[in-house]
Amino acid sequence: MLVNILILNNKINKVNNEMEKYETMIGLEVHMQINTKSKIFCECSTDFGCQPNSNTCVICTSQPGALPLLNKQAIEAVVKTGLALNCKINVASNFSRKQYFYPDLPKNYQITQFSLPLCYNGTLKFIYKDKEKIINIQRIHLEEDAGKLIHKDNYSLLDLNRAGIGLMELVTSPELHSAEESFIFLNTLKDIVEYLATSQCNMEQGQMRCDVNISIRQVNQQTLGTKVEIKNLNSISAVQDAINYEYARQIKTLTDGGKVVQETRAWDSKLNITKSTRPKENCLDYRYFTEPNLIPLNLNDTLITKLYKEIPELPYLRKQRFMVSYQLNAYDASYLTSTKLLADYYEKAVKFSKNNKIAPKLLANWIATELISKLNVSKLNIDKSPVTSENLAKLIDLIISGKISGKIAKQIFVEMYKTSIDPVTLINKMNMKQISNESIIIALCNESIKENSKAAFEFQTGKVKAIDYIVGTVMKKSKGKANPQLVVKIIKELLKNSVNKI
Amino acid sequence: MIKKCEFNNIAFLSRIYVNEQEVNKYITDLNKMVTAVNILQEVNTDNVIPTTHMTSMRNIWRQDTVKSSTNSVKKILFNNAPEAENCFYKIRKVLNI
Ligand SMILES: [Zn+2]
Repeated sequence: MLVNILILNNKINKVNNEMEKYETMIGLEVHMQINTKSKIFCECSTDFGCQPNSNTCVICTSQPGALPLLNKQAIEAVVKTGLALNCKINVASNFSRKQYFYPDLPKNYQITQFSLPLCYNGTLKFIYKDKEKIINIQRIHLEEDAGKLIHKDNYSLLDLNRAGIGLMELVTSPELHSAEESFIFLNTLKDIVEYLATSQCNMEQGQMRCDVNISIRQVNQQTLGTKVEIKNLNSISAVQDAINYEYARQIKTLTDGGKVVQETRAWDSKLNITKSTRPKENCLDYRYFTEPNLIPLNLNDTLITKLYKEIPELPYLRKQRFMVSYQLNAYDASYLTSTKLLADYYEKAVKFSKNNKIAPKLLANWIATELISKLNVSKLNIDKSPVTSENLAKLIDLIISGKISGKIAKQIFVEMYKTSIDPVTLINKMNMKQISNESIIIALCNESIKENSKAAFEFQTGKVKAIDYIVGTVMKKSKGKANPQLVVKIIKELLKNSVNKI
Repeated sequence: MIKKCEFNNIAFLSRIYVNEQEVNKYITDLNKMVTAVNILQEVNTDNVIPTTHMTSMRNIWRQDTVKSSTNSVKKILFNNAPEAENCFYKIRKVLNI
């Protein structure tokens, strides 16, 4: 047994040693569906989940003679995304045809951009292992999505509702080095694009898809290794799994004395492996040429300036500001800025609150625990919250001023969520106001001390914790409404006085 | 000049079936076109701005509004398909790539 473990350990060490000799170079091609109401070249709706082929017309089914009508909003979305990612903009730009035959592409060519993408030479910054990392973005271009195929046993079904929806394709330099880094890159990108509202990046609806280029090379080697492309990744976690699998496969190929072949592989999400797709040799030639049916673009400064001004404060900067302005820790700040809606809700609440010292932290806690768990149960987005940011701020102010206890606040919050009524009205209606009237509390304390004479004696003889029994009795008698700090103070005074009498 | 293997690849990419007798005829025709283009290539274009379209118009676009095509148009489009299943176009099996 011991021997077996030793052998196993040696094997693992050997693989680990091999792994240390290599570094991974990863480049990503990210496709994001542009957030427009209509498709890019026709006025069909982009709604998801409609009856198959109901959002189609003569243009997106490519009837002979039908001409594309460019959607201005799609151009704006790509340019805005590029500006937010520090890209240069090709103000004079145009479209090209990429020719290939596949049933999901009714024209037999895809309208895309080739030599003049709308955006180029950008960067995306993120934090990895407490260090700032900058990845170069080579280009972001505009193109049209293809239809959706459903594969049956011996035939396929085609839905063209997705055909012609605007897509932006973002291409990075091969500068990512691990699955984990790629994961953070994609999440950072997703957060930014969601803030910009240029794509909803909804993974379940296939609005964000990714192709991965991955090669490995020996550390210190100057040239890049042989590149393998993995297609068919429709979630960020699939990207991570595929990179990890492919990295191990390529290292094993090399250490076994083999050679990595340049090819396209598909991710099989059921088996969690990549598979070679073996396309016909020498047939990959897209024969790009300029799309004659679309007039070239020449974007003016006014439009670019307008788009630049529309860029909101981005998640990374907003997080930093939250930490400074509201004294939040990094964890709370990144949670609250994870979506624009959540950050907006929080900031509005902070502004409504009359207390700007304790309220920001309390609001952060209440939103992250009480509110979000309720919203999750009712499957609501924060902008549809029955408790408005103003009402939540009022509730927090009531706690801070000592008018209600935290426990009562939770009961009131449940009612606020159910009824959307403001907390002050609810407290009066529910008779929940905290009792801070000393004479009432003194009476309750006296009663409770009598009922817990053993605990009272223990407290007086030095067992400090014994006071909790008496406080508990007072709180029960007052139905939780007695001000707990006042209760403790009064019980202590009463017991001290009675000791003096002894 | 276009060679036979290049011709076959173009035919494959264009999904056009060409029988053996026709191959040489088409290669000859295509090469006449290539020769004509080569003559054009000799023109000095050093001071000519690259042009993709003959028009000076730019930025022809529409606003982002939805207008559904009519049901009768959709019906005509759908009925054009040789085969259908429920609301889908039914097609020959394709490789899942
Ligand atoms: Zn359409």
